[in-house]
Amino acid sequence: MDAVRDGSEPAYITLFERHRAALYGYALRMTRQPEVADDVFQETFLRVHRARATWAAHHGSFKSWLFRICTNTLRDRARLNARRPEVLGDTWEPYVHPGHADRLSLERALAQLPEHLRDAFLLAAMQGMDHNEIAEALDISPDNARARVSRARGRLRELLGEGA
Amino acid sequence: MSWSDDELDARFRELGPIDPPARVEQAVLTTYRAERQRGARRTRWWAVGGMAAMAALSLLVIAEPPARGDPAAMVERGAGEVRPTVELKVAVRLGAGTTERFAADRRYNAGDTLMFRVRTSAATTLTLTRAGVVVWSGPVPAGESDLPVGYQLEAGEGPAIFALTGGAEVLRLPVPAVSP
Repeated sequence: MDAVRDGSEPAYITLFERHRAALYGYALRMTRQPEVADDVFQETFLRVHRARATWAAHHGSFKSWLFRICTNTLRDRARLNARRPEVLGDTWEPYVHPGHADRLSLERALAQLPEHLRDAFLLAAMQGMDHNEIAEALDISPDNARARVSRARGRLRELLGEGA
Repeated sequence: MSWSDDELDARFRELGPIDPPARVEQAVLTTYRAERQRGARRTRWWAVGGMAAMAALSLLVIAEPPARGDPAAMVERGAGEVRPTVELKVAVRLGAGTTERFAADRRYNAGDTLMFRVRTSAATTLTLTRAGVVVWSGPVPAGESDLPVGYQLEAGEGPAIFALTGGAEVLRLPVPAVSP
């Protein structure tokens, strides 16, 4: 990241390659709309470049800094689009595809989580962040991060039909 | 039996990351390079700006504003089309085993399966969603290919919209409610 801050293009591309799929998956699962996820993804990496000078002041991991930028991008976008752009449907029926049924049921359960639980859970489960990193990424307290992840897991167990 | 936190996390971790569409990746790098070049020009300007300002003041020269280009005389450059065109065909495998073309005004039965065939003008990454949830996302080659996913209708399903993104426009497929 120090090289990125100094303007090194190869370093920026290395960072981009390392985090692109994780960040896009997060954006897509948070927005649930590919067109919106595309924009959030692009805006996040552009902000990484523009905000590289502030990296030194950040005391956490690069990953938490990156996802914090993404979180802010998502929030800015939500403020701009206060109304839901399009409601494609609020009923969630199971997908059935040989070999993919389990995967799709997990994606569906994630989609049913409220956003404030989904983001914390995605960062914990998919990114392997601890509560402090989640707190940094979401700009909340570590206790709040721990509580959100715990509530998300409980809700997911219910949605997947497992008793807690 | 209930999953531990680690087991639950591990199940979701198997979903894995999702590759962004190639055109989106390209857009990120193109924008980055453009910003970086603008930044470099600004840096050079500030390096010599002080000297240039002093020289200008000493000569009491007021430069004319830079001439603007004539929009009518501008030449279009680049490939123009950045997203491939995509055509979508949908077939339905009926419960009886026969397959026919999807009809938007027909109500299908539980057990019928929607199948998707696309034709693209160039290799690209497509994403198929239903009611806002990703059903499938992956690369497709140029030409005609079948998406490796089918959607089996279930009893009691309401109407929903499938959307295919990645091409020059979002293709939407309204699917009526399943027959009771």
